[in-house]
This record gives sequence, structure tokens and C-alpha cells, in this order.
Amino acid sequence: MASVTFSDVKKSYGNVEVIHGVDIGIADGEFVVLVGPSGCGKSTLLRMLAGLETITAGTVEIDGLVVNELEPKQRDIAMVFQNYALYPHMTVATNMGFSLEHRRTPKAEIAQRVEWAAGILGLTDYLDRYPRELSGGQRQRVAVARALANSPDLILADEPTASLDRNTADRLIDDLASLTRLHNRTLIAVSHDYALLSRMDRIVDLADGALTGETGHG
Amino acid sequence: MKTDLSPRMKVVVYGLMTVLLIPFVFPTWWMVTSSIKPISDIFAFPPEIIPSRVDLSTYSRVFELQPFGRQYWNSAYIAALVTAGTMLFSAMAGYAFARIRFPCANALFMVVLVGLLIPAEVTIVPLFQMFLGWDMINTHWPLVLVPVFGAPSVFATFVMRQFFIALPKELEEAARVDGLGRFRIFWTIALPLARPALGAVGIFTFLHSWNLYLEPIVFLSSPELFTLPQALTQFTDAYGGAMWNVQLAAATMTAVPVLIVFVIAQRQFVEGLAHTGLKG
Amino acid sequence: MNVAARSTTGKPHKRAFWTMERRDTLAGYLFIAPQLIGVVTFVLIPLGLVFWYSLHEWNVLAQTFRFQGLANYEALLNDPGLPQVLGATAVFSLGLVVFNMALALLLAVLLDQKLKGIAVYRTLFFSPVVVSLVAWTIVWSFLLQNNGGINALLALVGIEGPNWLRGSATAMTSVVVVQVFKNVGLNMILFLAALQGVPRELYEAARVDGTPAWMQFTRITMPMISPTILLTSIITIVGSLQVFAQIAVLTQGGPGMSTTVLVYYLYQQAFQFHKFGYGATLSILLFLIVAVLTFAQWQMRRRLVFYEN
Repeated sequence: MASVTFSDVKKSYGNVEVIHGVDIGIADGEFVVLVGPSGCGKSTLLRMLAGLETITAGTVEIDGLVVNELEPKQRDIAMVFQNYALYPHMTVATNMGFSLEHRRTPKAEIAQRVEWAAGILGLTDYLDRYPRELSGGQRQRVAVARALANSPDLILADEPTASLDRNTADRLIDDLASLTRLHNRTLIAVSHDYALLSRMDRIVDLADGALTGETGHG
Repeated sequence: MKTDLSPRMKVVVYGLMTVLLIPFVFPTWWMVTSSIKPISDIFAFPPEIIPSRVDLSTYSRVFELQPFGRQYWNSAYIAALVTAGTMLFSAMAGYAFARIRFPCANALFMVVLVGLLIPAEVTIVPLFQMFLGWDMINTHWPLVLVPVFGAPSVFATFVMRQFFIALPKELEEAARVDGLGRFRIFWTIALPLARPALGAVGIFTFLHSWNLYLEPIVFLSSPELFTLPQALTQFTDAYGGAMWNVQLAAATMTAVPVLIVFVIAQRQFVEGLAHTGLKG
Repeated sequence: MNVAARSTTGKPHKRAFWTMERRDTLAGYLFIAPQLIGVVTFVLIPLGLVFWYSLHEWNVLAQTFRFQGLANYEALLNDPGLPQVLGATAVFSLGLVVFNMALALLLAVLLDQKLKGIAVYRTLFFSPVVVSLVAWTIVWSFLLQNNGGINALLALVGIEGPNWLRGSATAMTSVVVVQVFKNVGLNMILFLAALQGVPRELYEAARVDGTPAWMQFTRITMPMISPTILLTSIITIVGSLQVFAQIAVLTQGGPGMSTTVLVYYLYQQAFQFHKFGYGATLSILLFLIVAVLTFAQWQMRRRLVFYEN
């Protein structure tokens, strides 16, 4: 269960305002993509939701709770990065279980959840490998599986397909879409990948730090 | 450059390199072989490149004339402490300067960098007075504290900072989303990934401490506290003349273990150096 | 109790005090604290003290410590030994840098060739770097004795070698050479890494254009590795001003004062003649020389360095 509400959210760096009051409501289980020209503030918006950037003004709510002042870890989210951001010195399994591990989840449960997430993304055979031994597509699937294993209700993805070739990206988009449909996650992505756009529930357009339109796919 | 050489050029290059090698390799060879020659043979003419007779009694003389075992231990434990301390504190400072945004970070970094500009020799007189005031003259404290926290560690901090700057930002963001605080990010993500830079810093810090000479002779006066470089120069006869065979035996014992470690781990040495040097 | 109750009920409305930035600020200061306190204690305060001491007459044996303004600096200008000391320092540093850089570059170019067993050569050229400095110097001292190994080898081919460490010119040459062979491996590796970092396409383009090999070296290689040359020359010059153990073991500054470089003179004045005030004044001189050299190198950087990452 995760709904997200941006209310009049602004962001300034010094005296320069880059996001000028954005309002977006995202329902539980929706698959939404933020689009717009580069530098329009869509990544900043996502990173504010993740807790990686401070919010200058306005509020961000997750499930009705204002999260402005919360640490990323207190927001019950997971994030997939453009460059995978896998820990190079850990195996695939350790990468996936890392967050659970230091939240003192019992070992058996970690193993079970890692197995489960790996199964969904077809990574069962790669659990003992290191990220450098995997292809780009496999790495990004590990990143998605890592997000899934933590079982947050809200998954964020920043340009998840930008480093991938067409076929691999399509496969990843299938995986992401299935997360929302089959496993009831809310997924918010920043992307300019048209293949990804076509699978969205909704597209939110941004330009110059302001909302310019929304398109529903139904 | 980097093209295949003609066979004739190959001979020239090999020949030139072999001749150039003599002053690099021969002294070490001469040190080891002379130390096992009987005293009567070490100035023999013609010189014996390969010893004809072996006399190992010189090695026991080393331990009779000086508390050499004790001095060996002094050098070893000081170098170990200095290396471990420098690696830890320079990694911490380098990480903070590279990855954490906090007020005055750049100004404070400039303050630290001043350490690069000031050779240890410039401050040796006041350091002597400071340690005298703290009652630390003729102890090992100055030989540990100054390298770990003072000017010699600044270069290590600089190297670590250059390394951490190149670390992808997303790794830390992923770790924060995974719920890690700053200290855990540093300890479980940044530090394990910094192993090559840490290795280079460790190697060169160890060598620096192992070679230190001015500081021990300024700060230490009791033979049982001496470090190896200082001890090596103490093997003189009643007239102040060098006891060459004993000196060379002590020098061999000082140099050869490090050389052996170097030969085993030479890739880390050389690549570590190239790594830090390029970035520096 | 009242206060506690208020603070718990008030909490949701207030901004939490330990925000991300505040925690990062605290973490940042904690992380740099050991290094920063160390630099202040063992570098900056001593630097200030050196200057303060230099304004005093201070003889440790006589236990005098008396403010005397710039008298030490006057003494410095009138010190009959100083020109010789500065001359020896300059000859040593220049000789060392020129010989070191040239040899390092030659070795790096040789080691850059595609040849079998090149790694063994690289290891051997580098090996003196890891030999204990005093051990290395003692062996050379042994080799350079009048009846030592070098003169014995020369005698085999019918040359009568000089008494290396007893003549002023040969003593200086010896100190430079001993130091160069000890540490040239460091610069060699840095140059080698720089040579290997030059994009191969540049050479391929030059060969397609028919550029001769020596021009490839002077017009492509040298400009491309100039940042490394500059960096290593700074490190080597500053390092050369710190030479102490080699002088102490090989020549004790002699014969006469021919190898008494500034650091050795400083050590003699402060710790052998117990003139701490004058020693501090010499420290200031050393500091100024290092500062000026570093500054000059940074200025040259703009003109000489063609390419930088």
C-alpha cells in the first residue's frame, strides 16, 4: 500500500529555484513515469521523494505521512539507479540482502526473500557471482531484484533503461510492469524511453520545474 | 613507441637495460655477499663477486654489539602502528573531504594541504621543544604521533581523497536508501572499495617509517630505544672506524626482509604507486 | 514532567533537529578531526614557533633564551658558511633533479617496449626503493672507500680511481648518484604509467602521417606526459632539499663543507652546536625556499603543461 502526494513542492539551490511548486497525486499500485527534457527537474523530484535531496518548500507525503524530514531508510522505499549502483565488492545475493542484513532481519528470512526476488527476475543461477561478472542487463535486473527483496511498497527508478540496449531494456520493462501488476507495488520512474512510456498507467510531463501535462493510459 | 622492435633494436634495448641495471642491483648483491665473507676477504683484490669462503659469525656479533633484536622490534612495531594509524585517519579525512558536504570543507582542506608544503625538517626544532615539554623525549611517541597526524600523513589524505572523489555517487545513495548512516557507508562500502589506494598508502607509509633517520637521532638517545636506521650507524670500533662486516650484516638483516616482501607483492607496490602518482 | 510532555506532543510540528545536513556536518567534522588537529599541532603551531624562536638568542647548553629581534637574520646574512651551504644545496638539488628525471625517463621509455621479461627488469630497477635508506647508503659508503669495491673494479681494468668521498667534487657527485639510484625507480614508474596513458591512436595517426619516431616523442609523448614530469619534478626537488641520512652517513657534510646542504647545516647548528635560535632561522630559510619553488612550479604549470585530464 503506497500512495504518494506532492503538494506545492519547490526546490532551490542557493537563490536559484529549479522546481516551482509541483502538485502530483499518485495512487496505490500505479505505474507512473515522469518525463521531460533533461534538466527539467524530474530527477530532482524523484530524489526528493527518495530523501536524497532536501525539500525547499511544500510537502511530500507517502501514505498520508509527511516525509520531508525523514531519512531515506525511514520512508520504506527502494530505488533503482541508471548505473545500477551495485556494490562491486559483494555478490549478487549479498547485494540483494544487504539492506535487510543490517536491519537485523533473521538470516533465514533474508535467504528466503533473496531467493524469491531472484526467482521473479530470473537471477537464481547468478546469486554467487559478483556484479563485474554480469552483463549490463543482468546487473540492472539485480538492482530491481534488490529493490524487490526489501519488499517496500514504493519502488523508484531513475532512468532504469538508459544504460541498456533495446532488447534488454524491453525485458526490464516487462519485469517492472509485472511488479506493479502481480506484486502490487507502486512504481515511479524517470525516463525518456518511449517503450517504457507505452507501458505506463500515467505519464507526468514536466518542463522547467513545473508540471505541464498528464496522460493517462487507463 | 609501442611498435614491435626490429631484432637488432631488441638486442640494443636488452643490452642497454642490462648495463644500466648494474648500479641498481650490484650494491644489494655486494651487501649480502660481503656480510658473509670473513673480515680478511672483504677488501680482497681482485674483488670476490662470489664469496670463496663463508663466515656467518659476523651475524652473531651484530647482536653482541647492540641490542639489535630489541632495535628490530622497535622499528617493526613503530612502523606497524604508523601504517595502521595513517591508513585509518587518512582514509577518514580523505573520505570526508571527498564525499561529505559540510561548512568550510574547502578552507579546512587548504589548511591540511599546508602540510604538503612543509618538510618535516623545518619543524624539527620546535617539535623537539614540544615533546620535551610533554616529557616524551627519548620515547617512541614522537616517531608515532608526528607521522600519523602530522605532515607525512597529509600526502596519504590527499591520495585517499583523490580516490574517493572517483567513487560513483550512486553507490552511496543506494546505501542510504538501504538505510546506512555515514559511518556505516564509510566502513562497509567506501573503505572496502578503497583497497587499492589503501594498499599503496600502507606500503609507502611503512617504507617511510622504516627509513626514518633524522627524527630518531634527534628524539632518541638510549640504544635499547633506537630504530634500525639509527642502529646501523652505531657499529664502529674504538677509534670510530666503521666495522664494515658487522654493519653490512646488520644492513642485510634490515633490507632483505622488505626486499623479499617486495618481490612477492611487487605488483601491488608498482601498480599502487602508479595509481596514486597519476591521480596525485 | 511538564517539559517532557510538551516536547513529545510538540514533536510532530517541529523540524527535527538532527536533519541530514546537520548529521553530515557532524560526521564531516568528526572524520577530519584527527587529521586537522594533527596538522595544527604538529605542523602549523611548530611553524609559528619556528618563527618565534628565530627572533631569539637561544643556546640550550648556556640556557639562554632572550628576545633579540632580527639579530639571527642579520647573523644569517653575515654567516660566512652560508654561501657555501646554499651553493652545495643548489648543486645537489639541481644535479639530483636533472640526473633523476633524465634517467627516469630513459628507463621508462626502455620499459615501455614490448619485450619478453620486461617485468623482471622493472622489478629490479625499482628494488632499491624498498631497500632501507641507511642500509643502501652504508653499502655505497663501503663501495666508495678508497680500497672499496668500485676502485677495485676500476683497478681490474687499469684505472686508478679517486678517493671518492674525500675529494669535494667527487664527494658531491657520489652523494647525488647514491640518491638517484636509490629513488629513481619511483619516478620511472610514474613516467611509465604516463607513457602508457598516452592514447595509442595518437601514435597511429602520426605514423599514418609519416611522422618520424623522434618527432613522435618530442611532439606527442613529451607534451602528453608533461603534467607528470612537472608533478614529479616538484616532488623530487622538495625531496632533494630534505636529504639528510645520506649526507650524515656518507660524508658528514665534508670534506670541508663541500656537501653540507641546508638541512644538514640546520641539524648541526641546532643539535650539535645547540644554537636553537639560529637553527630556527635556518628552518625559516628552508621553508621559504620550498615555498618559493612550489609557487614557481605552479606558475610554470600554466605555460608548460599542454594537456591535462
